[in-house]
Amino acid sequence: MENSISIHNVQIGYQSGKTNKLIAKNLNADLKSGEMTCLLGSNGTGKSTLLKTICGFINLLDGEILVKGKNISLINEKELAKIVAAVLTEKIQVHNASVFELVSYGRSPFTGFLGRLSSEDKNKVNQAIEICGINHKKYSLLSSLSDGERQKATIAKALAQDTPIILLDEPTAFLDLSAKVEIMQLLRKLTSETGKSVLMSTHDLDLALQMSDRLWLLSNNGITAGSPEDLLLNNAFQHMFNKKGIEFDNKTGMFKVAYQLQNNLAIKGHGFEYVLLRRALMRKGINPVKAKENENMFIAIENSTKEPYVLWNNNMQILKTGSVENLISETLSILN
Amino acid sequence: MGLVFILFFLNLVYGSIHIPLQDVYDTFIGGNEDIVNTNILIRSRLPQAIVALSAGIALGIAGLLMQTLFRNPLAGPSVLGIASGSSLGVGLVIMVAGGFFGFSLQRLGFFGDVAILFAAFVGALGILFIILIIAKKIGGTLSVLIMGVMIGYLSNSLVGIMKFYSLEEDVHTYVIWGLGSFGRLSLNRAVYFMLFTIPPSVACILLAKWLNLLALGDNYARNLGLKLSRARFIIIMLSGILTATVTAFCGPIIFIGIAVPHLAKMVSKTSNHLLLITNTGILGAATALLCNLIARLPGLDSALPINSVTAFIGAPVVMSVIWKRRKEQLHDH
Repeated sequence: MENSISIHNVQIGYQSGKTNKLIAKNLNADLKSGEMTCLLGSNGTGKSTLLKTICGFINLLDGEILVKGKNISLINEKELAKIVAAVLTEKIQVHNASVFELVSYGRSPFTGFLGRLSSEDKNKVNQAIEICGINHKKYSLLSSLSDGERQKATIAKALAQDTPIILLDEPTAFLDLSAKVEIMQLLRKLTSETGKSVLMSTHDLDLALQMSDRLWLLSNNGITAGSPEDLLLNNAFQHMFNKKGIEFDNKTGMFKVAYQLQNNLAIKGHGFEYVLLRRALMRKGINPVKAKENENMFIAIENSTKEPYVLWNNNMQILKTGSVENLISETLSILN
Repeated sequence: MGLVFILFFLNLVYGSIHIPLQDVYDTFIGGNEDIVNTNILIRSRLPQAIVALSAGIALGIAGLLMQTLFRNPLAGPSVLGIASGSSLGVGLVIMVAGGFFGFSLQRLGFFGDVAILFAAFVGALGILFIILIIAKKIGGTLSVLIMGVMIGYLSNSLVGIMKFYSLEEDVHTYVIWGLGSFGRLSLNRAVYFMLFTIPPSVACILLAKWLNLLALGDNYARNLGLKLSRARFIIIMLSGILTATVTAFCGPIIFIGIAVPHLAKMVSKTSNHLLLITNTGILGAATALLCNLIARLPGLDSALPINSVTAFIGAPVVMSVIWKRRKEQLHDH
């Protein structure tokens, strides 16, 4: 498959005076055409810096970046504007701007000196608004939009720019879960329907694992690239989260929070009720274990009844309840 | 547009001395009969109307350019200290040069005009570049405004020191200049003034696309293919030229530059600078003519200082802008 972006031995960082502040080095990766790639990395590894460097906002310190085969250090703003469109974290605040106006500014690389829209330009703008699903807000003011709608309008602007590559810096930050999913589905649709390449940075690991074709794991010392599944097989995430508090659950393919567990508690039973109980117990620092023959204290689960949880202590039924909260508070009072 | 014509006409008709409509008609279209009234019209009211019209256009557009460039709704020629920079330049020329070489510029005529214009231009541009650097380094609406106001104070204090050491005649010239007025130019010089201000104002329409992009933010503008440094430089030069020309000829005129762009944004209901610049120009002309008209309302013994009138009209506009912004910010969170 053709590469939209190729990064070779790149060092990124900021130039301040004569000294360079290096943020990440040894960066090598390829962005495949027609794919959605998520850029993951902890805070401070340089996700934004990398995206800004590819956009040409910051000079790269070393190495070379090719977009559609062209070296970004050698092409000017106008050429780059027709290859790479950006959605940035900075909020666009333009007084009195409607969605249509904002999106139409995305046509700027193609319009004449006064910026007037041709009928083809208008078509592209309307299409972009349509694809992003904000047709009903076309003539609304930006200031009246919700965060999710505003983000879609910004994406529509990038779409109107008609570039083969779209870069997005944390487009799902500050959105609720359904809006996050909607934005990512929209971006997936763009890659599959229009053949664009999308590179977005995000902190939403679960969504990135489920929805992106490829991941770039950025650290200060390189990029690990691959499909989500291959990276999971290779344990690539362990390096990213080598701090305490996060564990990778091999059974679910999801990440879970690691707790410090102080007590064991025997459980008889299984099923959805068990999964919920286990979560609540672990949050309180209690490790659920499988019950043996004669336990002093244990919880029995009767699946699919109104009051599935039964707490036993010294052969006495202490509590029979349908509420995990009540169960946990009773359990804790016995344990302590 | 029609409003501007009507106001221009009213500027000719109304004044502290009553001139019958018939005489106005006779002076400009028919043959003139009454020498006194013709004199008043040609020597005083016509040049004043021309100057007010041109200055209004220039200041309004300069203000709009600055507001978009700094992405700051409270930017404007007088607020950011740009006009103070011009005043400093003019003060240097009128007072120091005069004291130094032992003559008064007032007697130099045309050469003096050019010197004052040039000084005002250099002063305005100097401050504009300083403010631009501050805006890039610090950012934020408020800090840039405070810096602008402080720079304004600094140049005023320099002017104060200069006054202390200058010839009395020069200080007098400077003080009169500093009051601001549309009525100081003869018809000839008013036409010159118009030729200096209108073409650069119209040229600003060509910047509309750049301004639209800059309004999105520097990075978005760049991403859409704008050469930032070139666009910034040209916008600063044009707004500097406009502010400096008006300040040099009329003295510092306050509030038109900050208030008119907001009126235009309110009327236009668009973010497209193609329309915003045009409307700002028209409304600027109308506002300045209206202020000039109010300053010379019939019944007043002498004309009010023009800056009192512009402040009276401009200050409420600025206050309502801040009020509305507060509400928008509340809405945002």
